[in-house]
Amino acid sequence: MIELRHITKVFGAGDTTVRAVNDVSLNVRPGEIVVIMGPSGSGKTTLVSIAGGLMKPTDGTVTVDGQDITTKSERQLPRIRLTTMGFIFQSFNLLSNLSADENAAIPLLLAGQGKTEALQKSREFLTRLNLSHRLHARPRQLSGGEQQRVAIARALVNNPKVVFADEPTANLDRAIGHQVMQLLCSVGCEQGKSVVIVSHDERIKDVAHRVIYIEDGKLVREEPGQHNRVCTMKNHSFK
Amino acid sequence: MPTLLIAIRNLFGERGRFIITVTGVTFSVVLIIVLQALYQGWTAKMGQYIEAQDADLWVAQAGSRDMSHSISLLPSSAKQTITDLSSVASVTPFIGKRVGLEIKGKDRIIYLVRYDPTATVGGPVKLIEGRANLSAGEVIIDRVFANNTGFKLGDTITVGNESFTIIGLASGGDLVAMSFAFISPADADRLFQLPNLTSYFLISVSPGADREQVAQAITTAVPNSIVYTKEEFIEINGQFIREAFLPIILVLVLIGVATGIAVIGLTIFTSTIEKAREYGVLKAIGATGGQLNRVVAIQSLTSGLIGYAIGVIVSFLLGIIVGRFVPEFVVRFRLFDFAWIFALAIVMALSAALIPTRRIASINPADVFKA
Ligand SMILES: Nc1ncnc2c1ncn2[C@@H]1O[C@H](COP(=O)(O)OP(=O)(O)OP(=O)(O)O)[C@@H](O)[C@H]1O
Ligand SMILES: [Mg+2]
Repeated sequence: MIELRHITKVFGAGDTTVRAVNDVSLNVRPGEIVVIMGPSGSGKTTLVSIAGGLMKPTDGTVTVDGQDITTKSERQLPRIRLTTMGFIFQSFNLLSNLSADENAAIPLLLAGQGKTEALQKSREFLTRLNLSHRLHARPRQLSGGEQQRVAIARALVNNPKVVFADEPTANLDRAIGHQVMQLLCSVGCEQGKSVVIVSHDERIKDVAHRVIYIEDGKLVREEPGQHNRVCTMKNHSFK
Repeated sequence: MPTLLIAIRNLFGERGRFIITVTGVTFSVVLIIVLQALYQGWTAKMGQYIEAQDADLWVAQAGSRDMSHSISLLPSSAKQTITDLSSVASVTPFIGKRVGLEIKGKDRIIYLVRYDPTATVGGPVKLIEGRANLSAGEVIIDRVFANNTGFKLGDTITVGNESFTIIGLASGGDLVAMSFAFISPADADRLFQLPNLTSYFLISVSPGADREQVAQAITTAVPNSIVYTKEEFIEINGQFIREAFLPIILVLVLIGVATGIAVIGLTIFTSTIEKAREYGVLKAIGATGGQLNRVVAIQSLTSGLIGYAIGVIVSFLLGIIVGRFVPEFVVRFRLFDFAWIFALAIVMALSAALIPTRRIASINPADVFKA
């Protein structure tokens, strides 16, 4: 569950201020997949960074899993991100010297789990994402689609409440990108995560429950997605 | 521990850089260990002759210090005075003189000693080759001196306008800058021109006697004398090395430490900059600053410890191999030195790890969303 209340972000000062996000409010329920679309520079990344506790808003509050993260200190935020959030990036951002299963196990290890246990869990996730044959490969030995699936495993392995993905398909071939998003959404949906995906890719709309459009930092439009085509909800109902 | 996993994978994932780091640390550790071992070796060498003599006390002229740099002259008649004191078991005069020689175009110094083959102290420490029963016109030289000059048994050494035939090679008489050589009493008396004088008296005290008390008694009985215990005299003979080399060694050790810190620091810093994005990703995922600093510290420590281990091995090998070809390369390895150099290597590695911590602290995790 994630709630954004009147989020505003202003960069710079004086003549050069940029209002990157302008009074955006948004709720994402557990098991719900929201895609944020909008032109370049409209404030999508800024919004997701604030929602993910990586950036402080100028105004407004972010509540994740019941706690207001905008009031948390820099010392408290890493733990909150580690235990309640998962992140997926455009350029995959795997650790180049670690194997696929080690990469996906990182959040568990950072949280203090034993290596054997962590690797076992990570391998389960990778197997679910059809990577059982690539567990020990290094990122450079993997295709883009495979790397992004490892990144998805890494984002989900800690059983977070919320998953943020910024342009997760931008570096992927369209068909592959779509498959990878279907995987993310079916797993996310099935496990009752709130998933926020920023994308330019129109085809991703069909994995979402809702599509939100922002322009110049403002939420301008919202339309329902066609999630039911790919994601059958098992444990959740929406009111 | 995720920090250990990431650190080790990073280190071995960049093999070239790792080898450079370890080589740099090894160099620095070898420099420090070898210098320290040479220093200890030389200091020990200055005392080894005294150590080998079966004498509890050395009586010298007041004001004289070590054998290499000062002159000690005492009246031979003091022998009787000392012998008459209680608790003195034996008194042996030791008379010697430093002489400069030019051998094959090189200046050498030998410490000529009047050696009475019947005496039990004051002679060669150990005969390696030839014989020890000196007659007039014969000399016993040290093995190290023989190695340095190429002299062999049967060769002739010229001192002033006298010639001596080498009849024996001894060990244990090398003082780095000079070495002991032994000639017959008749030759010594003629050559030294110091009638009724001796340099030192070597004293054995009676079993169970208090050496300090005997020393005190001798000082009082023999005017213008100073009495050293064996240990004090060894200490004083090593002092020159300490005073002359300690400042140089200190400077070189500092250079070694600076080299070590610079090599680890630079490689770890460039690696951190190259991996800034990965550190940013870890931060975004939820790693704490402390965890990231630990990743860097472990990399640095691992390089430091492996470099130290190789450095110890290389130093030992150098000690064995170089020592065989260069007689002055006298090393003495002490556990204590390995211990403090180990601690130094850790300090070096940790200081180097401090360099990139500021860089890590400045990484903004939000930047990872930028493609
Ligand atoms: N750190 C910053 N300092 C100043 N201005 C910034 C900063 N980050 C973003 N901006 C500005 O905020 C606005 C929104 O940027 P943002 O990156 O959120 O856009 P975006 O919708 O993600 O664009 P894109 O689709 O190109 O990724 C832009 O005008 C950008 O220049
Ligand atoms: Mg963006």
